[in-house]
Amino acid sequence: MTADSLIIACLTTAWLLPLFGTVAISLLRLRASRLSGLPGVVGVGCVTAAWGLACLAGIVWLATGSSEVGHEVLEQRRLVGDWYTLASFGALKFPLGYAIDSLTIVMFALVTLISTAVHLYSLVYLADERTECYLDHHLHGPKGEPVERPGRFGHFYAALGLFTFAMLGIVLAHGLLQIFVFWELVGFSSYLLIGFYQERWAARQASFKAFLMNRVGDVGFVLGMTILLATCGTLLLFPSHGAPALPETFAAAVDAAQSVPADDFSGTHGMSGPASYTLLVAAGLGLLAGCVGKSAQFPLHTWLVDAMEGPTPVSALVHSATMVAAGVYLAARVVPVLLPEALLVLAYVGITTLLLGASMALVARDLKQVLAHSTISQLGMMLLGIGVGAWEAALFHLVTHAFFKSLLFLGAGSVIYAVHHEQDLDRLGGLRPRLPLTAFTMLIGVLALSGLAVPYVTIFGESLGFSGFHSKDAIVSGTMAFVLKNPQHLLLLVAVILGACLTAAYSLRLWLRLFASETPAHLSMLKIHEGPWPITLPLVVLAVLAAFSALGGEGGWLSSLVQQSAGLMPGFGSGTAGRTFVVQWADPEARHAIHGTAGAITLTAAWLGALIAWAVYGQRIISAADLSRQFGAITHLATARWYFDRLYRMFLVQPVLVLAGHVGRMDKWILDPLIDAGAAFSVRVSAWSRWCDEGIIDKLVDGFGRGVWSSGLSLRKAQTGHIRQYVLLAAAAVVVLFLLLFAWMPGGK
Amino acid sequence: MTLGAYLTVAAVLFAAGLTCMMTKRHALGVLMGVELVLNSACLNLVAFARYTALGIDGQIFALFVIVIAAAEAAVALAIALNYYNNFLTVDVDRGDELKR
Repeated sequence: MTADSLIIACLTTAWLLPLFGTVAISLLRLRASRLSGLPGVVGVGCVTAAWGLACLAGIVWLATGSSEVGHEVLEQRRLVGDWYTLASFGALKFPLGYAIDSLTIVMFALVTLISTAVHLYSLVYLADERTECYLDHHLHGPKGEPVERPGRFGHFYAALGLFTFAMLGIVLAHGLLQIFVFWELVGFSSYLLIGFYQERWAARQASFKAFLMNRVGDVGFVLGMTILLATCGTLLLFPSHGAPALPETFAAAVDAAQSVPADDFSGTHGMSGPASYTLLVAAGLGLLAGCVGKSAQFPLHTWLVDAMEGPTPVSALVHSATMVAAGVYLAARVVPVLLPEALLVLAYVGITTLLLGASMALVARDLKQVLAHSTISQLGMMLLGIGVGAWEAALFHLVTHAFFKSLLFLGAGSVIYAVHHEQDLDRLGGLRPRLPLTAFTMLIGVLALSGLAVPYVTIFGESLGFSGFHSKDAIVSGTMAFVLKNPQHLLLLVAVILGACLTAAYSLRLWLRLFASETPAHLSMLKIHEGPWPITLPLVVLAVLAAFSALGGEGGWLSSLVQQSAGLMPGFGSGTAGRTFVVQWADPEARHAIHGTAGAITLTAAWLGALIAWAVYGQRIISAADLSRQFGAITHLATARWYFDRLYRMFLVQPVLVLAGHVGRMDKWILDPLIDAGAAFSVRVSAWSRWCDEGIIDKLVDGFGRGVWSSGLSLRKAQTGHIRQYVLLAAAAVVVLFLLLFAWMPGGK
Repeated sequence: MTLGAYLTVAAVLFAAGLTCMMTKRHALGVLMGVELVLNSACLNLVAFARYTALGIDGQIFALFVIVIAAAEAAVALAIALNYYNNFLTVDVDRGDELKR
C-alpha cells in the first residue's frame, strides 16, 4: 500500500466512522434503555478512532512529503479522485470524490479533535439526560413545577455524530455540489442540536431562525453554482483525471469576458457567447452569500447568538469551532472564482461584522452570548483576511480560533455546570478560588483570543504570545500590506485595529467578571467545585493547543502546513492582461516587510483594550456605569444588538406573519365556509334523495309485495284440498256457464 | 225411440255420476262416479252418431273414450292403492296435504 492510498483510506474511514456511530446509536436506541450510557461510549469511541486515523494520515503526509518548511510557495501536493459518478449528461459530470491537500488534513485533525473533546465532555455535561424522566427546570407546568420529559442522551450523541460526519464531508469533498450536500446536512444537524431542548419555546425559535437564515444564504450559494455551471461547465474545484476544474475554466471565462462591456447584464450572447464580467462577479458573490449565512456574517449574523439555546458542548463544537468555520473554509476554497470586486465586498462584510460582533460582545450580559458575539467577530476577521488576499493568514486564524474558542466555550460550560445553570454575568463572579483549573485554562483562552503578548521578549526565538497573537498578527499585516497598495481602503486597517482593541477588552471583561470580581451572595451558599475528568481533560488539552499550536508564528509548522495548500492565491487576475482591477494585491514579501510594524500596532491596541478592561472590571478605577453612560448611544445600540433582530422582525418576519395571517383568515372565513356550504348542500341533497328512496320507491315496492302477498293469502282460502268440493264447484261452474250461454245465446232454431 | 230419450238417459247418468263424485268420500266410489260420467258422454256420442249426420265418427270417438276410461281406471286404481298405503284410508277428504 502506498502512502497516498493509505492517506485516502485513513481519511475516508475517519469520515465514515461518525456516521457509523450515529447509525449504531440509532439502532441501539431501539433496544437499550434510556439510562444506558452506551450511546456516549459508542460516540466517543467512533470520533476518537476518527481522530486517530486523521492524525495517522497527517503523520504519513508529513513523513512522505517532499515539502520544505519555509516561506516559499511550496510544490502543490494534492490527492484527488472520484468514487462514483452521480450523474453524467454528455460532457457534464457530477462525480462524488475526494480532494486531499494539507488544508484537508489540518481540518480533519482539527474537527475530529474538537469533536472528540466535546463528545467526551458531554458524557458528564449531559449525564442527567440518562433518565426516563428528565426535569427541565427552565420550563414550568401550570403549578410552577418543572416539566418532565424522557431523557435524550442517545438522541444527542446521534446528532453530534451526524454533524461530525457532515462537517468532515465538506472538508473532504472535491466539488461544489458535493460540498453543498454536506453543507445542508451540517445545517440540518445544527438545527437538531440547537433545538435539542425542544420543549423550550426559545430553543425552538432559535433552531428555526438558524435554519431559515442559513437558507437565505444558500439561495445565493445555489445561484452562484448555477452561474458557474452555465459559464464554466463544471463544479469541480480541483482537476481530477484530466477533467478541467473551476480554476482554469473560470480564468478562461474571465478572459472571454474581457471582450464584453462590463455593464452588459444580459449574461451570455446567445448560448455560446462569453459570459459578462458582471455575471462572473455575481457568481462569486452568490457563493459568498452562502458563506455569510453559514459563518453568521453581517447581515445574516443574528442567528448565531440565538443558537446559544443549544447545550453548551454543542455551542463549543458547532457554533464556534467548526460549522461556522465552514463558511470561511468554503470562501477559502472558492477563492479562484472570486473576482477582486467580490473579494472587496467580502473584506467589507468582514470588518462590519468584526466591529458589530465586538461591540455586542462588550455589552452582552449572558456568558455564552459574549462568546457567540466574539465568534461572529473573529469569523469576520477571517473573511477580511481572505478578502485582502491574506489567504493562509485567514486559515491559520481559523485553526487557532477553533482551539481557543472551543476551549472558552467548554470553560463556560464548566462554569455553567458548576454553578447549576446560571449564565448571567451579573449573577456570577469570584469563581477563581473555587474553579482554579477552569479559571487558568480560560485565562489562556482569553489571552489567545485577545492576541496579547509580551513585546520585545523572546525565549528560544519564540515571542511570548499564544496562538491567537500569531494568527491575528498575520491577518493585520495582510490587511496593512493591502492598504499600503490601495490607500483608498484605509478603513479596513483602522477597523481591524479597533477590532483588536475591542476584542482584548471584551475577552478580559468576561474573564474578570467571571473569576475576579467579588462573589454574589447567592453563589457563596452553593457548593461549587470542578467537574470530573471528562470535563477537565478537554479543557487542559485544548488549553495546551490554544497556547502552543501556533509556535513559530507564520514560519511555524501549522502555518506552513496551511500554506502548502495556498496555490489558489487571489491575484490570478494578473494573468488576464488588458484589464485593470479595482484593487492591487500585495505580494507575500511586502507582507513580511511590514510584519513588525503591524504586530506592534496590533499589540498596542490589544494592550490598550486590555488595560481599559482591567481598569474597569479588575481595579474598578473607572466605573462601568459611568463608561456606558459616556458612550450612551453606542452602548444602547450594542445592547439592542444594533436593532437587527428588530429590523428583520419588523420588515421581514412581521410582513410574512401578517400575510400569513391574512391568508389564514381567508382560508378560515372564505374557503372554509365555501367548502362547508358545499358539504352541507350535498348532505341536504342526499337526505332528500334518501327520503325519496324510502318514501316513494321503497313504499311502492313494499306495497306491491304486500298486495301480492295478501291476494295470495286470500286466494289460498279457495284451495281447501277437498276433491269433492272441487267437483261440486266445477259442476256448478258448468251449470252457471250453461245458464249464461242460454241466457245470451241468440234465439235457437 | 227418439234422440231426446237417449239424451235424457245420458243426462240422468251424468247427473248420477256427478252426484256420486260429489257425495262419495270413498275413493273407489268417486271412481265409479267418474265412470258413470264417462259412459254418459259415450252414450251421447253414440246417440248423435245414430240420429244425426255425424255418422261413424261418433262411434269411433266413443271407442276412444272407452279406451281412455280403461287407462284412467288403471291409473286411478294405482293412485287409490298408494293413497291407502300413505294414509291407511281411502277417504278422499283426508287427503288435503298439498294445502299445507
